[in-house]
Amino acid sequence: MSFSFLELPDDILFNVIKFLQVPDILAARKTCKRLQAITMSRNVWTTMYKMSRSNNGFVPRVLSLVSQTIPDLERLLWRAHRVDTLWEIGASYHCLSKEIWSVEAVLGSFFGNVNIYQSRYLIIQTSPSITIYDIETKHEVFRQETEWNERFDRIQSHVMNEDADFWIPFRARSSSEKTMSILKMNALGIVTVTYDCPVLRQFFDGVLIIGNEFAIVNSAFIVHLVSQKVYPLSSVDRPELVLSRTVTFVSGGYVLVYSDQPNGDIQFKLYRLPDHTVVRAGTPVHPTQQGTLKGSVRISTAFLSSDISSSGYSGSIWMFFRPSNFGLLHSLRIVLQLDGHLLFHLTTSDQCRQMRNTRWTHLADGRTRVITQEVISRAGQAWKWVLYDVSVDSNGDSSIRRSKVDIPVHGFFDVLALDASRGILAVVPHPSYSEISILDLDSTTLTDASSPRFIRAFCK
Amino acid sequence: MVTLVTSDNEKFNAEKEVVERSVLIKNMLEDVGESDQPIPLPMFLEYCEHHRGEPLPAPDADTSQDDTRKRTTDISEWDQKFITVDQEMLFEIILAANYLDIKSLLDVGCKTVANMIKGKTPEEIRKLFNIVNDFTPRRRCAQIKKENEWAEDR
Repeated sequence: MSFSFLELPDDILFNVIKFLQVPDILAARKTCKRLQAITMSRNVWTTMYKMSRSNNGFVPRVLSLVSQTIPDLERLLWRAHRVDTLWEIGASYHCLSKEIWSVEAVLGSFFGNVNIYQSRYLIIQTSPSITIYDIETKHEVFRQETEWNERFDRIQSHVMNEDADFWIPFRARSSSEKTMSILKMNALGIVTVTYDCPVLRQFFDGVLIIGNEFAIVNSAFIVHLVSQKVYPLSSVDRPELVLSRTVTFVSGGYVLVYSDQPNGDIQFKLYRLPDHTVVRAGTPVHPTQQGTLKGSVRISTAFLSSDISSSGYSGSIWMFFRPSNFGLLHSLRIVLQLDGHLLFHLTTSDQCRQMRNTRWTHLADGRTRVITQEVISRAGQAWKWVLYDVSVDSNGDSSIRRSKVDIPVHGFFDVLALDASRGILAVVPHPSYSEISILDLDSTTLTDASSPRFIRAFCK
Repeated sequence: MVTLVTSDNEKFNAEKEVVERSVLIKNMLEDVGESDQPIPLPMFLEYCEHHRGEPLPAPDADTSQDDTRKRTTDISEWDQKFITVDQEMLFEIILAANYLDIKSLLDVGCKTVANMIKGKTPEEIRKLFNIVNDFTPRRRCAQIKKENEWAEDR
């Protein structure tokens, strides 16, 4: 004996339908009268509604389910489906193979930074040393004993500049007090170290950001590292007047300084990096544009990409913006105005789920890759790791690709680094911090589920 | 040990714990009843054998609990392999699972059918299941279009 699909009883067909998505139900409706009748039953849509609600879908709550008409419910669920699929998980990464090797990094009292550069170099900063490993050849490339100082906490390295060099400021051991050394690694993996940067001595206690051959100290001075010329930034708010101040190199030779005002506003100022061959040392650098984003207390902001004309009077800067701890991801588009103002477009359409432990990195093609932990249950108890690829088009609209990542590390861990080009993660499990797991998502295309390389490195 | 007999007089022995995944057989064993419903028994036994020891859904699980069940169409690897059969067999398994009241197997079957439908156009669905389009052309144009028009231009 044999059955065909339509010989299945109604309750089974109903059982099948409830595993379908809204567009599939609508497609099934158009096939024949029997399926039309079933897909138009109230039971199907109330079940869909309840399941979507319990499944953390973007379904708004209706006050009374009974009072909703079937078309109303359909419309509601259709819209929810649209929002849901905007964030649909496209690919999933599972780790299959595993490689274990040993990294002889000296572990001190503090495990500083872990970075992956060029998808190849693992840079481990601990309290007594900087160690650079080549992941491909499994050899140590560079090692430097360092003195640790609390203020190194406040040092930010920036990979994001035109020539994509990686910079690490550090203090070499046994060097005299208040000397600042700078390590620079270029895209070919060549490390050059400037052991004493005399001009930085006077700023030794300042917050330092390095990139583009420039150091920015305390968000107040620009130092050209080669010529040792110092340029003060003009019209920077005094530190006591702002909650926090952040400096970012913006491609095109610009520096963006943004400060959180006590009233919740964020003030943005754009400066052009001075041409050290022409501009005399000590010449104040004035902002080319400035503006205030009203009432947007932010948690984190990251530079996405920019497109500034050589004249500096037109163009846009896109930023990645997260206004609150459990908030939404936004793309912030800052448009440069001829009159020296900045215009802000903050997209609010990017609905987003609760997330934490967010890290991001920039891809060469202008996309931003974000790894974050996303809540998967309504109660906020279960989290999963998700990788986003965010790109922003010329209108400032962002498109988002979302992939799930299974990180095969047990217990608590931090994702400490996310590399740009290939999406490599460095994961450091708690509490030992003596082990680094490296996930190589190895995905030039994000379309298929791939099997990333999984390297586990033990630090001795 | 329980002996199960199919309609064509094939006999299978199975442990009580295994076959009791079927609520029907469980009830029958309690009532010492007999079933003459033809079912693909070997496959059914294989399924129950694999899933033995897993918690059964509460016997009087009402629909509200059913609704909150995770709406996922993910199927475990083993189940996926198990359910890789031709369409007729698939429907038979679904019917048997429904009759024998094995909720988990019924779900696996229904999810599999749902996955077959996913992403297809109405015409492709008809082709997939040999469904005859029984709408009159006029009705199709007028009513169906009207019913779905809010979804068309989005």
